Amino acid sequence: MERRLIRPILYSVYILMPVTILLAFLWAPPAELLGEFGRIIYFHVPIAWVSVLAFLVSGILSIIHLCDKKGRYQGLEDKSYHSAAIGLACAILTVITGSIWAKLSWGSFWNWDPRETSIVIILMIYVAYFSLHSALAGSESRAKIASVYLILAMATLPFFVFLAPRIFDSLHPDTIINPDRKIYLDARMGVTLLASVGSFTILFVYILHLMNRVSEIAKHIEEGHAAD
Amino acid sequence: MQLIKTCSIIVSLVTLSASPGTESAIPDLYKVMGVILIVWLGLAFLLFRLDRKIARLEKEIKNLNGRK
Repeated sequence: MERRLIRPILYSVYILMPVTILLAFLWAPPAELLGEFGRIIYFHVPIAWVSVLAFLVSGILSIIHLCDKKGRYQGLEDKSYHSAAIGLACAILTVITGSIWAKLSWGSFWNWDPRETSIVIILMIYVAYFSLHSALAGSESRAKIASVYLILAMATLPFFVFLAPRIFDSLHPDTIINPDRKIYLDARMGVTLLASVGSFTILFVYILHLMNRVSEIAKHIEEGHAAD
Repeated sequence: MQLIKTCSIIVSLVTLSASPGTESAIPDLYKVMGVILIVWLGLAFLLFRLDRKIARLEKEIKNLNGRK
């Protein structure tokens, strides 16, 4: 029943994503000052958003895993691992798309801008998580230690994502943090950006759902082997 | 693996045709859009195939459990 409700939403990504691409290139106007290459905003920003969302989901699932003493929710450790994996992949894609944009707008692929520096630190934090996770293979306490690490990693996110770029002078365009507290975006650009954020969010949920299903099957096969 | 190779060849061919050295009647914006759409089609195809395979495995496991 639950899957019947979720599936149409997840499958909508097959339509929404191409529509978003067409909107980004054909419907949205070119950005002021940035010109045509400003269209990368419809990919860079949603991927960065998905990356933060995936890290938050992994942290929240880890909290539930640690609080769930009765074992009501199964496979939470795997789910948080998958979410962190998607988050890391998206963070790498954010760096790549951001570097292309930086080359076009600022003339160099890397400028040690506060946002660029903070994403490098976030990447290092999560790469360390995967090292820790693989180093603890076979250990009984792996699930707990990995969950605690993910919660600590999540606690650092607000500082690196929201505070650091606002404390230090940044080259990044300020859309919200300005004296008027308004988003300076053309209406069509705003709609396209929202559509893109929505499409990428559904894509994230879809990939996470697939990964969780694969790990459930793997667990089932392992249990079958153990029973034999 | 074969699919990934085919997708990467198609993407590199489109990218090469979109290089600034070659003169073409198609504006660069459409070429970039074409590349992104091809990448998405490849990804969508992979995801859809994976989804179907997982669904088949889940069905098989369900049938096996039913027999037990």
